[in-house]
This record gives sequence, C-alpha cells and structure tokens, in this order.
Amino acid sequence: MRTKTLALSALLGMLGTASLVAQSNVYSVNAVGYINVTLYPGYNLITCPLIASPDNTIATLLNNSTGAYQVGTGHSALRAATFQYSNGVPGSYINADQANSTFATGGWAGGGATTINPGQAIWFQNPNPIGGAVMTATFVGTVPQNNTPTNFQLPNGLTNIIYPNYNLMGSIVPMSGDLATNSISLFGTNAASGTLSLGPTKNDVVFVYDPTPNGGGGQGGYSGYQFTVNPARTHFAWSPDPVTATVYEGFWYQSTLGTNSLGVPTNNYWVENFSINP
Amino acid sequence: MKKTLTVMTLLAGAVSVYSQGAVAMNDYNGGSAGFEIQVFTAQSLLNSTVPIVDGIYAGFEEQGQTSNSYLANPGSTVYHTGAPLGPGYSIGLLALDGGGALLYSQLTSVVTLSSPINSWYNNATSVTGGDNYGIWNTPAVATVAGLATTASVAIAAWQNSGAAGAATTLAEAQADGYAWGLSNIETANLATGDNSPGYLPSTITSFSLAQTVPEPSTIALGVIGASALLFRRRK
Repeated sequence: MRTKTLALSALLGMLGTASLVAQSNVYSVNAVGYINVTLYPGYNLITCPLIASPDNTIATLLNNSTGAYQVGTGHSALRAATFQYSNGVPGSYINADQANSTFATGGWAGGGATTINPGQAIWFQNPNPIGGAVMTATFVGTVPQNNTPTNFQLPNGLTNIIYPNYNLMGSIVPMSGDLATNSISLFGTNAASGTLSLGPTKNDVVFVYDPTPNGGGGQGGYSGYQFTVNPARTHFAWSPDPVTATVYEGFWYQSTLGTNSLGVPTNNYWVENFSINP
Repeated sequence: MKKTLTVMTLLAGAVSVYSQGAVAMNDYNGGSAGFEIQVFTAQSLLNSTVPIVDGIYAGFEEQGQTSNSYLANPGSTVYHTGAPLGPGYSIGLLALDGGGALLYSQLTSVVTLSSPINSWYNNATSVTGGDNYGIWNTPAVATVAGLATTASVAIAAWQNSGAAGAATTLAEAQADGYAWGLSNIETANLATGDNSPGYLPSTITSFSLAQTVPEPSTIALGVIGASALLFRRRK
C-alpha cells in the first residue's frame, strides 16, 4: 500500500500509455507523468525523476526560449543559473550555466547542456530576491522502471552509485516523503537487502535543502540526517527519521565509506525497485 | 658506498633548490610597469557572470579589466556594487608546474609564499582615494614546486577569519564557508636559479569574490555535534 501511495503520488495523477491494448492481462509498457516544479528565489536543489524527450538537458527541462528564467531583458537582466556536480573521487562541479538574454538554444548562455537525469540533482538559482517571485517548470517524461532499457540517462538501471564523500543526487524513481524506508527504496537499513545494496554506513549524512523562505537561504537552508545509533542503542537509524524530500528535490549524500585495502574507493549503492505492472 | 649516498643526497637537494620556480606576487608597483589588479567583494548577481567551479565549491563572480585604475570597476563595461577588499582578506597563488591547466581543479594550492599576503593599500598608505583599494600591499614571492620554467597560475582571494576561526589557505576558507574567489587562469614565467622572479602575468584581470552555492561541508560538523547532544540528553 505504501508503495502504491508513493508511486501514485509521484506520478501525480497522470498516466499515459505508449502501447496500450484494452484487453485483460495486457499492460502498457510505459508510464508517462509530469511534475510541477516551484523554484524559489535563491538556491533550489532539484532532480528530475522522469526520462524526458528528447533529453534531460536544462535546454529541454528548463527551456528559456521565452525568457522564463530571467528577470528583465538585455544587459540589465537578472539571469537564473545552474550548477551540475559530478559525483566520484574526487567529486567536483563540472558545469555552470546562466540563462541567456538572447534566448538562443533554449536560452542558456552555455548552451543548456547541463543534464538533470533521473538520480542526478543540480542547483538552480532563481535570481529574484528572497521573498520575491517564484519561477516554475513542468517536467514531462517517462517514469523509470525496472524494465527501462539501459541508456545514457539510466546507466545502471534503478541503481544509483554513491561514491565516497559528497554526492549530489536524487531518487531515480519519482517519490516523495520518506526517501529511505519504503518498498521502492532499499536504503532504509544497513542490512544488505539486494544484490548491490550495501545500505547506509555509520555516520553517513543526507543533506536536504529547503529553498522556501522558511529555509532561511544560504547554508541555513540545510537539514541534516545522520545514520547513527538510535537512543536505545539497539540499532542504527536515520536521525532525524524519516529522511524526507519532495518529488523533485535533490539532496547531498555524504558517504563515509573510504577506500579498501588496495586503495580503491569503496562505492555504495542505492537500489530502487519499481514497476507499474504486476 | 656511504659517501656516494651522501653526495647523491646533497646533489639531489641542490637540484631541488634550483629547480623551483619563483614569481613575484607584487600588486601595484607605484604606477610603474608590472602587475596591477584589484580584487572586490562579491558583486551583484547581475554582474556575477563568470562561473567558478573548484571541486565541491562553485559560484559565479565578475572578472575583467587587466589593470586597475584605483577604485575603477573590475569589469570594463559594468559597475561593481561590492567594495574592494581590505583587511580581513588574504591572497594566495594556485599553480600547476609546466602550464596547460584549464580547470581550477588541476591547480594545486601547494605554493609557498615568502610571507602571508593579508595587508592592503588604503587611505593610510600611499594611494589617494577611498578606504580600501582591493590592491594588496605585501611584496611576497611565491615558489612553485617543479622543474618547469612556466606554470599555469590563478590568484585566490578569501576571507581569512570568521565564526569558524582563522583561515590561512583557500581550502580552509572554503571549508569554513567563508567568502572566496579566483582569478582567471594564465601562464606565468618562473624564475629559476639566480634569476630574479618575474611579475605575475599581466593577462590576469581584476576579479571579485564569488556568489557561491551553499555547500554542506561545514554543516556536517554541526549535524554530528547536534546528534551527539541529542543522544546525551536522551541518555
């Protein structure tokens, strides 16, 4: 029931069909959904758990051809900005872009090549002053499932690799609420429950960023969740629990796994399991 | 055998001394030829258009104008809104021996300065005008480890103290959540051996500190501390 609730809330009520046959025991292959995104003034940590067409670049998902992501025009325009982070060892920001007043190529000065693939998260900076006007976006695309063909947007199916230290990421599957403990995600305990899932490690930290005026902006916008021993010292759990985020909200995952005896970085894995068909 | 080893060690030491490249970190030479730029506090979002990505830290800043004109804009066509740097900020050099770096992450901060650069021209010194000029006033020499006669270099500027204590390096300032910024990356000629160190490359422009993305590293300590406190209280 929880899976259904999460999945259905994530699909936001719109399920389309790519190949639908109205006969019993014949199911649609794909589910298509959309997500309405609110981008508050200041920084927003966003993810797109949908496979968009033709791609998941910001030129597609955050199309600025009409100037939606700038305030004013010409040289005096305040322009939205994005930052893409590459997880790995060492992790690093690899791309930064700003809305372009010429509106060319999706209206991004850097060409809009920054991606927000399922499982990835990027920073979006709304240039309006804190408390000012929000910006919006609507992400449309196919919902990733267990049977989604492996391609450049889902290189590891529904498995998100977590590298040592900082990772900027989101759920591959659209879901909101408790990110860690549900039947879509296998990341709620530290017991190995899948072929790749190692589970969180002691002192791992998830940072969720609140972009609303309530979040305070800047570093004060972070809420930290640490995987640590519970007060009764009976087991490890996320503290606070649950780890919550909205359907398009990304987060930092700080993995405490380091390197093995051969000096090779030790990765962790967040495995998700989702299919709309029985 | 022992003698041979000793001689080899001494020779190696000699080679390393003469293979290190030096560059003068002077900014503003009394109006004479040399290196002259200004460094500013973070500019408005409107003027912060140059992306700066350095590992886990990122932001946008303003860069421009290859020589200072005493309180002029760092960019040649826009007006700065932030103040020039003064006391409370430090300057350092990032470098890659041999040159060729395109990314800040390719530069290393292991550059030795003959003295910390944290004093600035202001009204009390020789230049007339406002309170601070964004022009540092420490004639230090930077030594870049390596064998080459050129290096890719970028100037780093950062807030050197705050709630988290003193920050003597760019990395410390970034980890502490302090303001920081980087110049464009250019190629510097390094002096080796008995040659006098040359100036920083004149193609490095004035720049501002960055409007930075909130980074989580300083929060981590707070979370761990808060968790420990919570655990103690419940106990």
